[in-house]
Amino acid sequence: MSDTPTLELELKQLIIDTLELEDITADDIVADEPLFIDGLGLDSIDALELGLALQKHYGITLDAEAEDTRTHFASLNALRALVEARRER
Amino acid sequence: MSFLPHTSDACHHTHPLSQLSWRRHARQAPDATACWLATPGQPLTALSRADLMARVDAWQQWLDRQPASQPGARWVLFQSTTLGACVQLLAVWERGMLAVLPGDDRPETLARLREISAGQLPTTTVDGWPQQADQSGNPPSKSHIVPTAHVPLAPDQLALELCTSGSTGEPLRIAKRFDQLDAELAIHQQLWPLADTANGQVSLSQVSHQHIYGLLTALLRPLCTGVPFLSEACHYPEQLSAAISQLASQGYRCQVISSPAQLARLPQITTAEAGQVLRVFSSGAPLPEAAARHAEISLHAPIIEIYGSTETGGIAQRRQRDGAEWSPLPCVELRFSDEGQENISSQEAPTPASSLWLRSPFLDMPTEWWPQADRAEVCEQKYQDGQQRFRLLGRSDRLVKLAGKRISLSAVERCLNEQSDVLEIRCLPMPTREHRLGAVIVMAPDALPHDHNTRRALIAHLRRALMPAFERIALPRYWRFVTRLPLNAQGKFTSEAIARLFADLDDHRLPRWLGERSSGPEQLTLEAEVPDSLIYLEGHFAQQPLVPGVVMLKWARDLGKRLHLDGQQVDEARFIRLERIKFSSLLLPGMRFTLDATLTHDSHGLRIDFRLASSAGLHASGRLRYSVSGASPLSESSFRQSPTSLSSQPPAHSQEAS
Repeated sequence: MSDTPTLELELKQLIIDTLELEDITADDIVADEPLFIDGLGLDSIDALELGLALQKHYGITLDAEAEDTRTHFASLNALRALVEARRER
Repeated sequence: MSFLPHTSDACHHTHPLSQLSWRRHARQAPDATACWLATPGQPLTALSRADLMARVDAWQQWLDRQPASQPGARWVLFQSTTLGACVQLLAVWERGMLAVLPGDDRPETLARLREISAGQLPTTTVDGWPQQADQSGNPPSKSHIVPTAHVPLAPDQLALELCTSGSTGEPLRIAKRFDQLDAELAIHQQLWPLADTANGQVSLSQVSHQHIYGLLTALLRPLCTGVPFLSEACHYPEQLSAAISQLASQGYRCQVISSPAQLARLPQITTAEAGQVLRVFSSGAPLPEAAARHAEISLHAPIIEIYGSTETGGIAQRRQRDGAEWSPLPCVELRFSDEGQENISSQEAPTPASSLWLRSPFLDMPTEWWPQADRAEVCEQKYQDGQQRFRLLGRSDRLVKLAGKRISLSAVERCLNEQSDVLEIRCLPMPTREHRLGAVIVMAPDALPHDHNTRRALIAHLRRALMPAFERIALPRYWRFVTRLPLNAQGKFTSEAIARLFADLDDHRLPRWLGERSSGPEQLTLEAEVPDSLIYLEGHFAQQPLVPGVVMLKWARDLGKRLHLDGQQVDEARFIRLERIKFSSLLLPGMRFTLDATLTHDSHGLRIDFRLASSAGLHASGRLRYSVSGASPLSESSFRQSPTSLSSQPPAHSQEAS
């Protein structure tokens, strides 16, 4: 059985806790909606914070050689795919 | 008191912009690398100085075809890449025109600037050429390029205009002459030499060249020194790390132009190996001390902070490893005074915190004292170099720096004030959260949000109202909706009130405090919300998280402890029991509620009557019973209902019981 639903909730909570989005709950984050443009309205500082949180929680070190790494932050689905593929813990 | 400028040969080893330093370097060594071209997922590739000049020539040709191109004409220049901005800026200068550099590319900003200029320069290709009309993608052949007479520029000629925000929120355009820019570039070279030598150096940037700091350090310094630069900024640490490591493998040491926002968020891993980075600059805001320490370790290089502004250019510098105090840059004279400009010279000992005044060759009027909108304090200590140093104590106007961007709080407030139902507003930088704004909004009681969804919709509405006129970083993240501003007896909105309004951010056990009123020392009504981050919410991911009854009792008890009756207060140790407790309806995250507590005295002792209600109705009510002082707290009843039961045994919810 896939652990995707659990990971999805975990990532939603990670976003809310890391970025201290006080008016957002897990239910408010739609998996395929953009996180940065409209959606949650995140900014460049949030992108930096999120990168740090991924390193801390999942041991993921973003790699500039691969591609434009921050495209992984486009939506929750993209973020989940990144964590599933690259997590070390 | 004044800081005397250092006498020095500041122009050593660097060529002034007004002497077309880039052409001189290109003549001396046309094949030397001028720029490292970044392509996503690819190794960096070198562009020679001749390659760079060919692009400058191509842009001059483009300019020559524009009817609006007259000597002295203004061109709006916004490019996302450093290379694009570089070739256009040089073309504009060599054609005797000047560039207007907007700080952002929001349509409103660009439209406003186009009105006062000859037009906006089009986006360059990723490698700096004009876009081809025939879509062939080939750069113009050399035969098409008309040689340009490279005549030196007059030092007192205007080079460019930078855009920033004034204290009223009105955009300001700040003009810079070549002599101002050249004076500052010479000081940089004196303090932090860059050399175009065999074992090369290279300039890497994490910041925008559209602002004074990035423009000077990341674009103009490489042009004066002949040191190559990266074609675009490395905004994220993994990009920076990859570029440093690739350039190091080619024998380069990097000078990194960064910012507090980025240095404070470097990963825990090593970003650069020892010896790969020459030095790192940070500007835009003070870097927290811990971040400075970590960044020195992660990048294996000194972190040098530059304090300055668009109007003044650089003012002072520091390396926090050596202390928190700032040293003025050579050529910058400082005075600390709250007196008017005329009275400065008669000022004796400065008060501990005064306004900062300066005079420097980087200013529009180098001989006039310029009032900097920052508070500062002179350090009494004498330093070995004989220089005096100072501490910065924050701005004296209503501008804040967020992620290096200057944001006018007045302008944010004015925009929000225009929204319906907003009666009054205070916008403020968050005391404990770098780069974030909070907003306290006064509304009529019937317009206040009463639950998660109405609050979220209101915040989304207010953020949308700000979006067209402000950069995203200026949008407040934390919102507090109140019926009146919590002012002190002097009518001031104090830091204590601010701390209370936002205390739930740091203590997840607290309700979100939104104000309180009292009819006397024995009565208090708290206005509050249930934060979505409250740690007591049952079932983190459950369908219906709710506030447990025991938590409502704890809040009632905490409020009750603040009440006084004839000089008496309840004593925690004398708690006896709960009486008439009712939980009438669910209290959900996001709900706004009032909690009313009254202290009374009856024949059994002291009691606190409480009522917790919202627009949805009553949620909880009851009494907390305390014995009067003198009676034994360890009565028979206190064994049955000890104070600890408040936190360990949640009473059953009436809904759950039914």
